[in-house]
Amino acid sequence: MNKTDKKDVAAAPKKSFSAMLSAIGLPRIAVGVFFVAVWALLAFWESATLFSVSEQSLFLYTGHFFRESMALPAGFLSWLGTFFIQFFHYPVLGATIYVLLLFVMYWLTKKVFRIPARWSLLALLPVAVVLAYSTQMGYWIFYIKIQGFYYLALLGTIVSLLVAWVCLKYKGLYAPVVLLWMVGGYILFGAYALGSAVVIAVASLVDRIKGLYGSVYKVSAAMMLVAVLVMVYAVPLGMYEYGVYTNTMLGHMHLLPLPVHQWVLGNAEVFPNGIFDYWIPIILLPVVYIFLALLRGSLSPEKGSGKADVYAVSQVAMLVSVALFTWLYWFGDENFRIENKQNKAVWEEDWDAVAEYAMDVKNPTRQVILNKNMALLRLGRLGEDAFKYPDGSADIAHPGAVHLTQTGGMMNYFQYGKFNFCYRWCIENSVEYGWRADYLKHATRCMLLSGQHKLAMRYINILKHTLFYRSWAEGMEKYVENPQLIAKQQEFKMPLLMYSYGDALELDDSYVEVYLSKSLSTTFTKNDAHIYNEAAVVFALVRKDANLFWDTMSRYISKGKLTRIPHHFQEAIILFTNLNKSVTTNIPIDFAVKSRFESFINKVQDHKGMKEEEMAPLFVEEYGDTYWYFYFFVRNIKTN
Amino acid sequence: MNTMKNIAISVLAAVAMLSCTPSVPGKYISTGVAPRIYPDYTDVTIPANIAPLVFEISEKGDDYVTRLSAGDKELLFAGKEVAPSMEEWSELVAKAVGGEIKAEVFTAINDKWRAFDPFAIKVSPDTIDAYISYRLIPPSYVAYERLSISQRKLSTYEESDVYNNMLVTNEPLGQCINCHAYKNHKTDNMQFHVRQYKGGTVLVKDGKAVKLNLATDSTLSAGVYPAFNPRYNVIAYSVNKTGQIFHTKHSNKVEVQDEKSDIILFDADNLTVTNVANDTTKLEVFPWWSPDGRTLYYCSSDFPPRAPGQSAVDAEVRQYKKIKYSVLCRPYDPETGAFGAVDTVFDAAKMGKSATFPRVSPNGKFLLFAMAEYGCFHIWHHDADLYMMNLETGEYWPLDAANSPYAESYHSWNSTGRWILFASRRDDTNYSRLYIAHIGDDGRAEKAFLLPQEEADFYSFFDRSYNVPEFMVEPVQIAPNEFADVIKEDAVNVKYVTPKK
Repeated sequence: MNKTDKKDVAAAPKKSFSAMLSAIGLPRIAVGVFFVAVWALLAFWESATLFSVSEQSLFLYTGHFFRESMALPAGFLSWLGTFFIQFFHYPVLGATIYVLLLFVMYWLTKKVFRIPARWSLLALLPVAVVLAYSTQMGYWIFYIKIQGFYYLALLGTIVSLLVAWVCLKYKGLYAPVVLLWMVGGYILFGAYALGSAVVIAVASLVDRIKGLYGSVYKVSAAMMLVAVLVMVYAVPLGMYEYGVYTNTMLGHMHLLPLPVHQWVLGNAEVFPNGIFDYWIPIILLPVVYIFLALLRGSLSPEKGSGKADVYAVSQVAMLVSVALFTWLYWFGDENFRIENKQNKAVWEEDWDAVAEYAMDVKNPTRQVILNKNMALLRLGRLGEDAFKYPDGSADIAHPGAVHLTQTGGMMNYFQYGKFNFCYRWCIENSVEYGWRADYLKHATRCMLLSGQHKLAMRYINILKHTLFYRSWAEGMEKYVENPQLIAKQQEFKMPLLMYSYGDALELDDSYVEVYLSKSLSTTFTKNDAHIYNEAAVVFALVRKDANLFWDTMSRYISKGKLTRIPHHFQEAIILFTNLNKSVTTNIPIDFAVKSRFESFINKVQDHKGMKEEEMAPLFVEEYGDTYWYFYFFVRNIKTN
Repeated sequence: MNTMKNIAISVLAAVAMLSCTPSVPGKYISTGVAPRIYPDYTDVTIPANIAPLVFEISEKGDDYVTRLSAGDKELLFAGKEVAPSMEEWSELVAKAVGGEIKAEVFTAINDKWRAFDPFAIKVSPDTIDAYISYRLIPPSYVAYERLSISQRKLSTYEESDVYNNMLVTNEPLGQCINCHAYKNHKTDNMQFHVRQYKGGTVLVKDGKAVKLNLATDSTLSAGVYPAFNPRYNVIAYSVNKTGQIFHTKHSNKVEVQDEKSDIILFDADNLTVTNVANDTTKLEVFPWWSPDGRTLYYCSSDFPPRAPGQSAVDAEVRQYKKIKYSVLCRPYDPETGAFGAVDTVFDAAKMGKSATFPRVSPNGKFLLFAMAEYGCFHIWHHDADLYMMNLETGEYWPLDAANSPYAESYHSWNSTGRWILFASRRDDTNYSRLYIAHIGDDGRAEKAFLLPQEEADFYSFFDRSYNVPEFMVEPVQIAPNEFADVIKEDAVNVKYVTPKK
């Protein structure tokens, strides 16, 4: 046995773990698993969310849209972002494109920073950061003001990597390309051009320091880095001072297209909690690339080089970091996902699904409940089933205020025939957040059904310049050409029935549920649509207002051709007559309801002295599907 | 060799151009009707110094040919969009001054050509002021963002920001900008308001900008609707407590109402304000001066009747149709600063109508105003139309040729008094667009034309309304970021002085 043999034998146990990783190609497998898993999660688990992302965006195939996009720094990037977002309309297609581009970014990162195959996981670090940038959004999809946000980091990074590749590969082009990139690139890609120029300058300096260059080259690379840093400050400033952009404040010029309008650091009055968390991926992205720039050329492609255990530990650490970071920054709120599923189902006219989804969440938000009630009303089951679902008013997982007026409120206003109010919020929201497909579709339908066809045509015409809403818009255009078809269309029947009230001047104070509740409970319809009165009774029940219940109930009974009183209405009648003995009624109550109420009261008596919150868990299984449970145990409902 | 090559290229290019040049069809059937085009420039009257009227033919067809001609000048266009270049348009218009441009449209379906009745574009010898300015704002109700006061050179499509609210913004508070106004159509004395974040009134006096706080303890609010006195260094403002409430069903959609409103006078030399019209039983708004600066016009309405215990706001909401403004005036003595007795100029309320935005023509002969059934914010009232009144005879008439079935409001006079500029919602009922109409010696309007844009379908996609249009004889000289610097500074407070009698 020679010395070499001895060394091999001695090293064998230490090397085995590393060798095993290399042998099975763990880095590559991990990378593959990562991309497949991300694709599967996006395409299937998040399909409704991706659909909502596309609905909350707009891409028009017009020169006008392009010019409007280009009005801001990084406008081209926003334009590109909205272009790619439109494919989320078909979530599997959209997810596939997104993940393919993520892979392009991964591949370019490896190429540009000369990351050998056995260190592939390093190139996943920025990918995880960019992914987090998008998947962390949650309710921000309704509120983000920067257009194309979901794709900005990904596209900005890919283009930056291409520029870096040119600069670092063709060293003679480095200075002119970087300088051009910082001016032209800034106009097109904003902060991504500025940030990537710094990374390129650092990588170039590292190359010079590590390479066999003379000191003149090293000094010139250092000076170039200084020049780039000066230009990072000077280019946006110059564009502001010389009036290239007269629509952006100086403080934002350097940072667009980052969400500086809303995620303002230190603005504690507006965002008391958690806003800084959203910045972490944004801050990490240049940090990771600076780190890769410093490592550039240092990593050996050879197996067994360096310390094997360091390699193995670092691989595992990177894998865990990527997985953990991705998991932590993936917005996993159950209500958010259900709301998006309901939204998609509404547009698909799948009302059973809208209601069913509400069963999937134990502590629902008011939007989930409103959507469910809207569906039940549509299905003719509201009075029968409204309180058989989980109820409450879960806090919304978002650092700022979330109002239904920006999320599902427009949909509810439309279905309840409040076309002017729905339209109003389409306009208000378009002002704050830019026009989106969702607003345009609602605006079209509202103006169509309220007979304002000239205005409806405006929005139809805009939607006809999209890829995926064109056929929908052409369908709406047929109603403008043949208005008599509107009333015959199943999807418009309920909204039109609900639209049978007279004009009045009202305010909703940005609270959709409160307004609908007040308006439906107190406004009489011209033709006393049965469905309108049924909704009014349920809103009165939600408000737990006995007087309002009797008012709306009398309207419901006197105007409807009833074969039987809906289940929950019977429960309310027996409850309110029991609570106020002076009220009598001859409305027939089913025997089963009566006897169940008696057993409910008996059980309440059995637990006399207990607090409501202590009693609720004891009652939920047996009586969780009754109005009585809602009345007594679902407390402190706060609507948004 | 190179010369030969260049010649060959030139010949090929010429052949290619010739082969693309449209020609008027030799055989066609006359339709007997004028073509539908957008924007509707049929039979409009335009000034010679206006940018090319680009329009699109709304008729169906596989092929299109349009011929524009005046004198010996002829332009031919193929395709749906008719978009003359600046150069060819200038030549064409020059031939048509005092006359008209004849427009002929031909369309082909299955190679069968149809000719529509020609229409005219009349070219007035009266030139128009070189610039206009306006606020670009989405037709929203409460929300605002991306607001700009912009200026447009009328002889081209060139538009630029005077000020953009995103230059000085603060996300939670936002910043509204409004009510830009000029003294005598010039920009060395002008003003606009900034509300909320860094709020104040930006006053440019003799070319120098300063931010003022026009609110005092003795006036209702800071200045709102402004009117520069054309002769003296005073500005009349309304001061308003304004609210809005929404129609649940009516297509007017919103009512903007003043809970209270008065008129004040700001002395730009001494930085003082004083009340001019603050009758507690009336709403007073929309001041305007006569050209000699010695008469102040404004609008006034009684409050609607109130039930016992009912608040003024509630009464206004419930009886919003009973709020009807008439046009009043008061003589002004610039030497003493005193105002004389109130006189009624146009008693709209007596007619069951509501007149707003009185604007006296530069020659002092005519009063232009908007009138609808009720209220003060006519841009949201479909029935609002423009009316002209002869101040010498008291005769008044609607400007039928300029009006439409939808809202017309926010009008202003050209410095020569031969053109008016106003906002109209006729295109889609909701987005205000700018129309320009020629006014004859008799105060009658000719058919108005839509402010031309470089693309015929520009307005189909443009998502903001044009608001408060004003003529200017020159562009604003102060850059937007210079205004931003002024706005970032603290406002100079004005002092209240008691009215002179």
